[in-house]
Amino acid sequence: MSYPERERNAIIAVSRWPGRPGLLPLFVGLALAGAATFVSGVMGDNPLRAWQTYLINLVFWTGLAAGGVLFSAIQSITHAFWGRPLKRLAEAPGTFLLIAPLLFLVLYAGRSHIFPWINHPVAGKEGWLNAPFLFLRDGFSLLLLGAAALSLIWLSVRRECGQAVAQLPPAADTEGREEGVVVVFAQIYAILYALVLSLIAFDLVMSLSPRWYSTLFGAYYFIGSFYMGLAGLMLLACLAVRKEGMGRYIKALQFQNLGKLMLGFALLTGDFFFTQFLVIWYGNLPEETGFVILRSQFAPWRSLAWTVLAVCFILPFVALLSRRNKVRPWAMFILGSVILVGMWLEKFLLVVPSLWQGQGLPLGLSEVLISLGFFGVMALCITIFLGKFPLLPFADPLLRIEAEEQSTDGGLAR
Amino acid sequence: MHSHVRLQAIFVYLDDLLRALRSLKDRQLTIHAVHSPVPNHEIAALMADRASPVRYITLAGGILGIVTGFSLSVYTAMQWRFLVSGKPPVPRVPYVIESFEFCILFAVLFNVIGLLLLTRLPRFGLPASYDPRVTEDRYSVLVSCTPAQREEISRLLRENGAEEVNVVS
Repeated sequence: MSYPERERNAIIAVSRWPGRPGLLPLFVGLALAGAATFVSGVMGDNPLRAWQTYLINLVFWTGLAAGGVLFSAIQSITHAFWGRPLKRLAEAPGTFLLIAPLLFLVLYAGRSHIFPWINHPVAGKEGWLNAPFLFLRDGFSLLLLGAAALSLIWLSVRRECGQAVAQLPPAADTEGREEGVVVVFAQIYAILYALVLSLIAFDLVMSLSPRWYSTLFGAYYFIGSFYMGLAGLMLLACLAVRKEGMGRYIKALQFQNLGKLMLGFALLTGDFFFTQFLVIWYGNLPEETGFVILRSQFAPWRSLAWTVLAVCFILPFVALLSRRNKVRPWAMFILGSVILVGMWLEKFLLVVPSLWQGQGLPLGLSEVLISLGFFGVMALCITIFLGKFPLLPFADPLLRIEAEEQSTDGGLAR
Repeated sequence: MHSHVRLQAIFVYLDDLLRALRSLKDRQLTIHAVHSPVPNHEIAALMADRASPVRYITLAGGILGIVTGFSLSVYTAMQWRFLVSGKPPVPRVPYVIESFEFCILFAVLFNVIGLLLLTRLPRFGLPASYDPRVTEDRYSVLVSCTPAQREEISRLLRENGAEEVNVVS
């Protein structure tokens, strides 16, 4: 038994992303405007401002992309049924990881602006904190993570490539063999995710204050990245259900479960922050407290720190307690956007106070334009990927088994 | 004399039961209880017209726990003067942990107490409508209707696959 007739027609109807033709030029325009702003900033009087914005966006969008793919990997590892209709949407931002190593290499040109330990080496840390070694290990790690992510995505999409819905063999025939390979790759990806993102956090964010250290900082970054990945996936799901027929697959259950995951990772991200903060507060060691005191006690960072706490933790916690909110796409779209803006500001708060010596918050038009440039690149990756591959992973054995079982009930109900 | 009669229908198949529940809900009849040998999300979803108020009791417990945990920590510090070098006499940062622990403890306790109160547990006898077959392989629905509707609802239940329909007191 394969897909019932009614399901087949429904799948064919929703197999393409509801993108408008005018969007691609818009995203290209945003990417070019961001690139132009960045280049003019680097050539201008204050290149540090452009470089630090570039770094913030690199760690933000790389984390978001990696977090999205992790959702897909977790679905495979846990053999979950409920999230199968969301799998392709979660994989879409992962294509950004293809260009992340290239974007990382651009940082090499601005290394002396970004990494204070190049001009002022830290005694005893030269072996780790030196530019050639850092770019070599981080570049290689990002390549490895990108390769693992793309392998996982490829294994997922190749099932649909050249397959017509009507000609699929029964799900039970392919489930064990194909899904087993996907699970192995998903496990490899999940391990690499934790290792590579920890390294990125230590090297690209923590080393900006080279005397400060927190052993939990890597985990804090990769947990936060999954939180961002979930928020990004929520935005894509809200956009996807606007397409007629897609609501048949992405239903209240998917929104509610995704909302629960977001609540869980809002709590976990907040917990990882507090766990570091409490130990630093108790230990009261000057080399540890400086990083926190600068951000929590001094203007202009203090107000930003409270804003980040409210937007990334308190607001999502309160909003996501309600089941009703979780199943309202428009409410989740707003909340997901707010969380992503909050997490961008959190990256800003981690990076900029370590580098910026001027007065006031260096947050203006150039920062917005460079960030929009990165947004344009990410949106291009998503739009091209979803335009090329079916929106619904209809050949995924677990989605098919679900559809076959629920075919009498008019959709996927589990 | 009661103005309503209570009908109990026994079902063998879940699909029949779900169809019957939908029909009863369409007629806006009061469904008093559904018994099932195993937990089932679809039955729960159909019966969840309004959320249980136990969540507010739990929330109240959680908030009371935060207040209690924080107050107890402050009171203890004031009474015993735990002065630690470099820290204020009443440090607020570590009190987050006590507040959190009390929040969870009180929320759980209030939840259990609320559940017991709202479901009027413990009960030391089975209700008259309870059929022991629902712990084996049958589903049951207890619904009330007016005496005039009795025949119509009985027929409706049977048409939807009820194995038997009985009037219970």
